[in-house]
Amino acid sequence: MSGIVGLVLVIAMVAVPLAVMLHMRAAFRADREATETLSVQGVGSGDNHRRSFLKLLGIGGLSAIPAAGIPTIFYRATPDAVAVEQPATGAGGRIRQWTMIIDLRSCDGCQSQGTPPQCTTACIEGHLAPEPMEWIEVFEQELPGGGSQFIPTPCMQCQNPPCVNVCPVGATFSTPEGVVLIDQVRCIGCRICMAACPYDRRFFNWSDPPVPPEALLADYSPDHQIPASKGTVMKCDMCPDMARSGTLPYCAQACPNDAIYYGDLEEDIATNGRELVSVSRFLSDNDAYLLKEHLGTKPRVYYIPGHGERVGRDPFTEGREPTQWPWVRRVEGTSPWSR
Amino acid sequence: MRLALRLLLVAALVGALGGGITPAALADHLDVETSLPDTVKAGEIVEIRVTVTSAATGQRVPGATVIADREASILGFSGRVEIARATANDSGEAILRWRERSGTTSTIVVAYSEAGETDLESLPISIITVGEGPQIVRSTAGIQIPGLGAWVIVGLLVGVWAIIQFSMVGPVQIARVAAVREADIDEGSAS
Amino acid sequence: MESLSAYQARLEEATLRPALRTTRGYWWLVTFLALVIALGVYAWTTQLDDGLVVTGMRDRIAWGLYISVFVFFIGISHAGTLISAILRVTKAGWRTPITRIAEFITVVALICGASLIIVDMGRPDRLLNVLLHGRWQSPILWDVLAISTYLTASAIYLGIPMVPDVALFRDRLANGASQWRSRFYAFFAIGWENLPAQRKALLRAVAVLSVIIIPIAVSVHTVVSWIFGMTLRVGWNSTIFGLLFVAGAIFSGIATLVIVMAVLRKVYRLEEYITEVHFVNLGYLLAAFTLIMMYINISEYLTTGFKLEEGEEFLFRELFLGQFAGLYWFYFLGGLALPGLLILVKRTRTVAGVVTAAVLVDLAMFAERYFIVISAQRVPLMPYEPFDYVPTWVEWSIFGAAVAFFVLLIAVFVKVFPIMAVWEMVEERKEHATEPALAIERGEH
Repeated sequence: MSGIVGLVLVIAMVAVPLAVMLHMRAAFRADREATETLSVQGVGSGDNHRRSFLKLLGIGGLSAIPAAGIPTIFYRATPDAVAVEQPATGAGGRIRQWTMIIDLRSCDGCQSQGTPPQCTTACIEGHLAPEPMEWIEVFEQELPGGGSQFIPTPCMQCQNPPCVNVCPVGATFSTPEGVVLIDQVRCIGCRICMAACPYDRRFFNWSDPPVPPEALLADYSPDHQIPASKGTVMKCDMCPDMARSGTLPYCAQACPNDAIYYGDLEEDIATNGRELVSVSRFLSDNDAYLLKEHLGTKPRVYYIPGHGERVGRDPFTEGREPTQWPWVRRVEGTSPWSR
Repeated sequence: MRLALRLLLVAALVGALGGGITPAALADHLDVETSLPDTVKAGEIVEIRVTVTSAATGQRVPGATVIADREASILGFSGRVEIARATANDSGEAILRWRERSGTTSTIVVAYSEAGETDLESLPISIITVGEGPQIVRSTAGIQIPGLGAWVIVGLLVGVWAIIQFSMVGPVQIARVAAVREADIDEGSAS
Repeated sequence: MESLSAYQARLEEATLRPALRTTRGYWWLVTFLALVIALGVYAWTTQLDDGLVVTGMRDRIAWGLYISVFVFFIGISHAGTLISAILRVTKAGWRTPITRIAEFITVVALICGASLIIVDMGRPDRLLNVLLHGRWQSPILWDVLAISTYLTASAIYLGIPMVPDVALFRDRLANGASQWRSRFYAFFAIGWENLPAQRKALLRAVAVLSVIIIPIAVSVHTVVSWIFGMTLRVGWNSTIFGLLFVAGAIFSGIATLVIVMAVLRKVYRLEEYITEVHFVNLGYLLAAFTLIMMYINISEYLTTGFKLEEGEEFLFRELFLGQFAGLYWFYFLGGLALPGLLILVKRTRTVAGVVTAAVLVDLAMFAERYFIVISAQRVPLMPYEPFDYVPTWVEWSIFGAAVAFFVLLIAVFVKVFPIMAVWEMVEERKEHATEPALAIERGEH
């Protein structure tokens, strides 16, 4: 389809100047014939004819100047799909639709652990996320009645993703599994996706990111975004490669309170590593909500309201340990940029 | 097709839910009558009517809680997942309703407890053969609006560029006039 | 009244003057500009080496000065369209001496603006990806298409009406000029001999272009506004953005034209041709646009401010009382109200008054582009402390280089191409020889 569009454009942009030139040529010949019948043939006039004629053709070629814009025709209506793994399938060969449910009743921002939020730490370690990126960031939000709640915030994996909609090169894209990924090999670093994301969930490699030796061994894929590269955007990828191989994402594995459920909307099952739930029943029974639902982004990450009451957190005990990037210290000669 | 089954009460308790109930005490506690669809495809709504009757008195049991769950596994974890729950009304009837997702043969277990009792009894009621259905949830990747697409911009672009190129006819004509005139002068000087 | 041919002879001399005589001051200016550009290039190389970390931008304010300057330059590129296309279509005779300068500004500003996008990219080495993997659905691609279309169209629109004047240069600079130069003019004059058939072809091409270029120009700044308007951010998520940007573009375009006109008039002593009338007429346009801009501002900020949805309150405090209040009130009072007054009060409706107003307008419009880009990004999207963006020396240097490049290109154009549309001015004079137009009449005393 897009190929045909390109072809039509090529024809339009090349054919018009060409037609102009041919028309001019015919007209010139007609003029010549008309004058020749009237005037007397002279010696060497043939040469002159040719020179004038060639000059005319050259100037006719000027009409091809607008065709300087021809590269625009190579734009394709839809970009080639970035090479990603075959989507995971569940029962009946139906494609898994990855989803995350975060039970805020069980999240105390790891206050009780006395550590930085362990989901964030595990994610940073697992993805070798450069400092100061927090792909899943635990925000502390004031409650209407005073006190606070903690909101672990990964990428929302929107189904109407503002970032994908604005990307000029298709570097960020939705997969059949419903996950939004970034191809750092294609990304041009224009950062319009960061401007478009209403959840502040996109991070930029402002300088050369730290790359430990083991990262160079990793076969790069948008599924895990290792190794990171300068001048490109990164974010939470929902760990679809881990899910495909039957493992919970780093954040869900690491949560000491099992607050993070991960699963498949298609088969309607999710797990936090301890129990299995039917996603639809779990969401409805517990009055789940979406972050900034009014924006119409249709997130795939759901929240169950709470402030850590399940794990005995008093909403008035505020503050959490600051996030750390332990692995970055292993890499010499890198300096993190500020958030 | 509605299929009424007399169900045998199975004295096996669901471990997760169980209290210390002796199977014998329960075995003749209640009778359950269900309506089961013949086959269900993935994505279809399953509706099962359950009638709970006391085995001892033959009276309907209002207020009994009826639960359907199934065996499931994901990401290396497996267990039972509750998929529907209902409470029997005054005439001892409860309706379990869910959207079938598994798409394969699955075992449905109904558990119920008589009002006021904490004990639960469970029984495998049937095996539903489920046909393969289409994808239920899809990754939409944005919202498509019919008729609105890249072709609008392509069309606009082609139109505008055609007009711009048409304007280039001007210089070409200017040059042509000059070339013809030059040729004429050459002719004149030659003759 | 002097004869038409005498007027034409004088006018031709005046137009040829910049190409014939180059003062020492010109070379000093060029040297200075080259130095500023060199500093900008050096700054850019450090940015290429170290990444965008050398700028003040970070994740939470990911677009800064570069994008503001880009928007500003694309804005002033609308000078050419308004003056030459709209005034040509509406047959406003007084436009003729200033069309060429306006068209210069358009082409030059577009080149400067577009290059800033490349500077802003995290991976300029992947620029070609925009061609290879472009998505028609992306506002950035609309920008690329609209700006490249506009640049092509305005380059042609600059070139075609210039043909007779280039032919003048070809004929008059035949002796004394270098061979390279005469070939150059011979090529661009495409054999112009002022034959009736040639005039007909020229006028037709100009007529087609002056009509098509207006929607293209409007689309350009509308699409520029949409790289902001297509996001869900408070402050950008607005339906009036296209209008605001187009109006602001024409507004700052006129102001830039006034400034460039004033400079060229002074330097090349064009007072006879670029008269007070031109300044006053452009001043009236500026005054009209101050009102349009105020109207759009009030319409935008009152409708959102009345309701104060989530985030709007923060934006309003920032804009009107907080970090951006200085810029905002300078823009509104110093860049809209004061220039409007300068032009509407009869005593200040002079060349000096209009030029002062134009300088204020350009500064204010730059401030406006800056606070529109930055303030919306400062609104926290999640519960975090708002980020403070301060441009670094790298950004300021590149900004300086962009402005210097703009001035340099204008300076080069002035030396190479005829700065006034002689044939149009003569034509205009001819038409009004029996019945002088009000504008020309007033311009002559």
